[in-house]
Amino acid sequence: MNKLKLLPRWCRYIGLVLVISCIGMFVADPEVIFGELTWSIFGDAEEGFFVRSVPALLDSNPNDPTFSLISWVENDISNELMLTAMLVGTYLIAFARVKEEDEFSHQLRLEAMSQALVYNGIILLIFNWLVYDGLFLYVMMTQLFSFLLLFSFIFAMKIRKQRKMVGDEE
Amino acid sequence: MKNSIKVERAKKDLTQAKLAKLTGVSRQTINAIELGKYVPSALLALKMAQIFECQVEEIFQLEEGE
Repeated sequence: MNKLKLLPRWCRYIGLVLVISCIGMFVADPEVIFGELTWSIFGDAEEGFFVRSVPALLDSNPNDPTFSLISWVENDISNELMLTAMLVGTYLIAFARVKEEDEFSHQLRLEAMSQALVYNGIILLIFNWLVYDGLFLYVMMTQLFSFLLLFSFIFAMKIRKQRKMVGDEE
Repeated sequence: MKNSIKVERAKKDLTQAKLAKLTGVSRQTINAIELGKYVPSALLALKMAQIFECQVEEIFQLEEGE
């Protein structure tokens, strides 16, 4: 029988740690994403701590005589680190095995995935008509991982409901 | 699709947990099949028929309009 290639169960816990710490970091210091415009419980401490020299693709002007495909730039990498942790975390949660993985859980995965796709589309449509200009960039950034977050949540709810149903019958 | 897994289980004196272990699936899966919330794969249906020593059609029957 065809079996889904999934990650080991412990990956889920690593994913949860990554996602929760990312959300916690964002709540404590929205400056990481929104720049200097927001309030932060850390105040102005650690300014420039994450500023590093990193390679940048197509950063200079193509009309400039010193143009090069890749150049080194000074950049605050805190938001890059956060997005990486968020993406890796959501993938680890979404594709880790559940305790009892079988054909029924595969079916629940499929249902959760199609529901998440619909809900994610509805959310994007709503924000499309409510959020404008530069702020819409953040909506697009959220869309990078919102589908996987929604999928993980819906799938977890479905599994929980099934377990509860069996528990109630005992 | 309706099924008579509960009856067949009773005949063989099998609990959901035992049947789940014999077929290699979870108890939730057996429960969902019994309640008609999940239609099993052909492989799982054949395994069940083997355990209950009967034909698949004796366990699973199509309902009118299906």
